[in-house]
Amino acid sequence: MDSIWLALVFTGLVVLGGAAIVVSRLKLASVLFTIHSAYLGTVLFIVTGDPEGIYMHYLIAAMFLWPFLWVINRTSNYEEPPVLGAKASSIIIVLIMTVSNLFYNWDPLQSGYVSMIAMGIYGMVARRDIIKIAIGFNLIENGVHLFTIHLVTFGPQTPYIALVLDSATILLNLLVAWIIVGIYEEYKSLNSWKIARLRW
Amino acid sequence: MTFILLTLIGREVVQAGEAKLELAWINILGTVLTFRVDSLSLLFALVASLFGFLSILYSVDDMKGKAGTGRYYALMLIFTGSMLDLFLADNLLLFFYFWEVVGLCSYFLIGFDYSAESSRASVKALLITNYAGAFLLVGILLVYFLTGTLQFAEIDLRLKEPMLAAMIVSLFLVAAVAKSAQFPLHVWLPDATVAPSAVTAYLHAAAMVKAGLYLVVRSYAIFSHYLPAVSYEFAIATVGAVTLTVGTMAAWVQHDVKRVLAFHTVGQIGYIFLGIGLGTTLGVAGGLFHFLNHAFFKGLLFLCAGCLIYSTGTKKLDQMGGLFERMPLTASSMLVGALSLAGVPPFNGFASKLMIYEASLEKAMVTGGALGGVYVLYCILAMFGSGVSLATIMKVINSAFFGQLPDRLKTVKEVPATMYTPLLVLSAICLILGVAPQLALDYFVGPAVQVVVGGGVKTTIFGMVTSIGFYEATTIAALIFTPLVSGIIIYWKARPRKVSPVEAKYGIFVGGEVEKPYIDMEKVKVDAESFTFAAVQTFNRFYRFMWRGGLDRIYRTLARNFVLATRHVRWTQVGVINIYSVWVVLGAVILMVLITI
Repeated sequence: MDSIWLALVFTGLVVLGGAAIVVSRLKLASVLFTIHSAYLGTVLFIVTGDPEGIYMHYLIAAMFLWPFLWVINRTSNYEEPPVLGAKASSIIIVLIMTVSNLFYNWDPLQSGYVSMIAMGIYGMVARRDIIKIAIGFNLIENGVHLFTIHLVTFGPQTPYIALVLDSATILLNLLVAWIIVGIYEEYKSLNSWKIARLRW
Repeated sequence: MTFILLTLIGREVVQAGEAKLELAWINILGTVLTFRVDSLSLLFALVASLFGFLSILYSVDDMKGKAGTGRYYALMLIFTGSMLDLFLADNLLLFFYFWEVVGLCSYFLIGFDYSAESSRASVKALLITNYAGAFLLVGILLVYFLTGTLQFAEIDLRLKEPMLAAMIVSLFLVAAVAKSAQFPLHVWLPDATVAPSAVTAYLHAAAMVKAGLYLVVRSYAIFSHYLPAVSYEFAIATVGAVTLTVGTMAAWVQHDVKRVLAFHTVGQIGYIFLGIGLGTTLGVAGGLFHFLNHAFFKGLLFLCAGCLIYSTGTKKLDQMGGLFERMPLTASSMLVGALSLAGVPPFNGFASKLMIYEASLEKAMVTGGALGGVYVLYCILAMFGSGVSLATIMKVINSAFFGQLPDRLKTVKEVPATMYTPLLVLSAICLILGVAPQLALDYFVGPAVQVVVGGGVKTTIFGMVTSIGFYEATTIAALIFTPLVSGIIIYWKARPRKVSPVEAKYGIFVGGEVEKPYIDMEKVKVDAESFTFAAVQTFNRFYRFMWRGGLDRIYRTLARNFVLATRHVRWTQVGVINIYSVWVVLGAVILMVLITI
């Protein structure tokens, strides 16, 4: 019963992350990612009993939502046309979840972080909107955090690594939000293919 | 506040030898991240914190009303904090981290106003210092693989392959040469003067360029006894001697006040390298003392230059003139800084330069033979550099403060109090350290020299004693100032209260030039170019070589070959984040495959 419960919890986590990548309305995608991040913090707290997870991930959630909603209000709520549409993306995300579960023999923790990292990479590669790319990057970071929990058996230092990664992500999100507004003011677009002229 | 805290810690360091803060972190690397204050790091950190404060105080009025002040102050504070952390780091990993943060902050601050000129200068600084920083990273990795630790204190004890120490310090030296703007990687520093004045002052006096110097001194302290002294020390001394010559010669013919000072920084850091490269107690003491002095007089000169630019709106010396009466505090402060830089007694620059000259001669006597002759040549170059510095800085003083006041500068007045207060503080320090160098040598430089070479500097009540001479600075200062002050008092007391009838009718007789044409010095302006005309003629070949491309040809050839060598991989740089993500993923996959194999 416990394992089914755990599988459900992690599947919910991965599905929320995947939905944040697929949904084309940026405000909704940001809210979904925020819920995903806060959810991860809660899960980490329940699984490890370590309050660091809940503190940092609630902070990440807040520090993501606040600047990114600020950015979206100053730019556009509609995602730039992605390389692959919503249907194809949904299929790929379901495929990622299925393959990772099969590969890790339905282990919820391992397949969870692999799915999250793979979905984050997919988001960074296949979405053209910078906000979506930022969500993809954050999803990878959350997957890596879950991975460090998996590593915790190897040494006591892993929580410190997670702490450093989380702190860096918070700072990076603030910086990215600030840069995105600057890019939009200069190029009136958030399409990563159109802003390639940023090269010096 | 940081300066005060450091001063308090300094007392502890002097009494106990060092103060240490240990923060256990990623033990998986077999290392802990530690901050340590010893006499050497204290010397550098005190200067960084003091200048951080003075630069920010100066910025209050200098940056008033300009766009992006929030960004400016945030970056300046990160810059100052990172410099302090760099000097206090007791771990190479931590040191490298702050080394890069410092580079990034300077990149943002040099390109602060987003103009094409500042963008180019900032990218140039970033590229040169970061590519050279890669050498530091390789050196650090080599240290880790050889010793299994990155702690400064443990590297020395665990080094099993002393032969590789030479390779490590060579890698460190390349990084330091770029960061400290030494020949031939000095080209980024003069362009970096487009940054706001306080940033330039901080960058030159206590930050970036001093980071490289600290790396040289610290690695010298760790590795010196493993190295073939002749080659390593000789390399540092040669870099210093060549740089001081090129730097001061280049400064001589500049007409932009900030570029003059920037080339002088290149030259003065050359002096410090020369002193440290001599490897003797006197040489290292001279080098470290000159570091301290240079921080004060160069910081002072850059802030004075900032005041000139703030008041006149130009950096061109040819467009200034006659400002002494309008800006007496700035002019007096700049004169103090200039005389210190030129190494005129009794100012602080003289004391440290004298130590370097004497150390060169001492080294020449000890070494003997052809190599001894080379050290004599270095001493002559150092003295020649001082002469050139004096000529250059007199050009700056003359062009800015004497001669005719241009019409557009008639309304110029002295800068606000927040801007001239740092000038007065720094001028006072330059004078105090010049009149009583024994204070700095006893309390700051001496203990730092102890850390580097294990020796000490002998001081007396009124000065210092070296192995080949002595310098009674306080006595000499008294001898200089007593007649000077007496003369001023006599002049003041004996000045004519009223004009005599004859003088009123015919004017003051000064040699018969009553009738025109005569030269009225107050209406004549010797511009900066005319001032250096004779110099350029004398060293015609050198300057012609430089103006025709000179060193630039070497850089251009290097750049062209680099572009040719990388032409097959340029197509990967498309500027699209998605494509870069694909490269990152591919790289990760290749790494995983390699690790698995």
